[in-house]
Amino acid sequence: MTTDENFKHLEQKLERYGAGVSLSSSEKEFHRGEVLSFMRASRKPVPSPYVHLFVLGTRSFAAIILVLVVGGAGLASAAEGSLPGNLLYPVKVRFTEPTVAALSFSKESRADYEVERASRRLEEFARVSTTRPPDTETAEALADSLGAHIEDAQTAITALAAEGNTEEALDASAELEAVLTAHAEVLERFEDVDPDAAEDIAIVSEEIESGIAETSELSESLEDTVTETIAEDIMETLHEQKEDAENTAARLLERIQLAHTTLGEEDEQTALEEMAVIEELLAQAAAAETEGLYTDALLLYIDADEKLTHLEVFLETDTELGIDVIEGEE
Amino acid sequence: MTANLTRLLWCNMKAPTVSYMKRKIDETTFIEAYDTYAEAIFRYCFFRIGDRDRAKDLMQETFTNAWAYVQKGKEIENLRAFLYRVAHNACVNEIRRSKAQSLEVMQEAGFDPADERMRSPETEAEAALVRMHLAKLPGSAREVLTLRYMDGLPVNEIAVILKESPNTISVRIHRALGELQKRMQTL
Repeated sequence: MTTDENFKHLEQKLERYGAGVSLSSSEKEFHRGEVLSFMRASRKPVPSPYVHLFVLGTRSFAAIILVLVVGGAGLASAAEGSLPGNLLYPVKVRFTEPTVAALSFSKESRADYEVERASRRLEEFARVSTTRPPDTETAEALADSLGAHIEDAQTAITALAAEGNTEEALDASAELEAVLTAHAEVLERFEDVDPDAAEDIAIVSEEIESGIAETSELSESLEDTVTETIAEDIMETLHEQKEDAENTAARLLERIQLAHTTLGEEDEQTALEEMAVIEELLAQAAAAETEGLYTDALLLYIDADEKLTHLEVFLETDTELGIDVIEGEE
Repeated sequence: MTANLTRLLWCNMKAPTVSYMKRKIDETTFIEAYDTYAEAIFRYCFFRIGDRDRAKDLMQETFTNAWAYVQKGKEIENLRAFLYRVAHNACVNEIRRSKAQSLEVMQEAGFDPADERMRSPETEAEAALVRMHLAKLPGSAREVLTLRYMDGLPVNEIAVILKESPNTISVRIHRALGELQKRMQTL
């Protein structure tokens, strides 16, 4: 494995490790409540111009609002941790989650949320299965629901890519694939532990396998798009950098020759030596480009450009201000 | 390795200059920011402090401090970068205040930062290895790796948060990766 591949591999490990450190939904919800309380406590009261209309009915009005707000939010919040078979589970699946999805303020957050929903269904199935053996009805309901979530996630990912956010779409697609693969492995273990449940688990596993295959195809197509875009952009950057470096080098060389009298023999010699180093770098960059080593070529052009900038500043200071800053090597 | 650094530098060159208008933040926007960034801010605090409970408190403190700032009528250009900046300050204060235990010490004490998600033994083993070596890196190296890879921030935004140039950040990430790679290879 090359060093670059090692680095890429390490970057992926870090991303996976980071993804494993997260808040549970109840922790996130709890701190959200604390932040909201803080915000409300620090809110500056603004008297309503219509306050007198409600003076007589203030208490009953407040009570109604309280019931509506606390009741609605409380129900949604209580439903958040519910599992299949619980009374509040349909509230979560049919109300809370679609509402959150509909309120997503970007295609990226929508795609991420749809991936999370697919993951949630599988987590719920796993949790329920640890307390009681899964039955065919639960497995079929989950498979249907999972299939719909995977499709929604893929639609959201495709929409994200269509907006030009291919890298973000690829991230979301890879996440979906990883989630499904991980759960497929988990379900295999369940089968080992409880062979009687194998048939029911197979219903879910089949849906997951089909989801993995489809998502994998989507990821591959997105990867191709990303690679093409990167290659095109690298070439564009390379040509810009090359043009800049060559033009600056020519300009500076001319300037050194013109400043023959003001520079002094020693400084002129040092500047010319530095130019020789830069020209060597440019030649190496051109050779790398010819050999198709575009990233190496880009690095060499960047290196040459940095040296040119230094030399230009020194020349300017030396010739324009008369300050002797060009020093020969000791 | 040079190609990796090139990729990081190239990202800086190609990334559009992020420009934000200074604006006042209302309650809805702020709570949306909590929903979007709480997880990432928590992760950032966790990797700086090494204590899951303290990281949760610091995450909350970040949001309350940020809201207190907003309440003073101050305007913010980039809310995400601002939140990270506040979290950075909160973590620095926490480290100064309590001389917090390093990740390494926490891990030796049997600490496991994982949440309730189920993970395969392979993922668990890999995470343990990364955790061990990451804990041994200097705080500044761990910080840039956390921001870049655990929280997935672009180099330009990390530069804004840490008040450095994008190229400096790229080089720091590159060096931190190299150091981590070296430590993992010498196992």
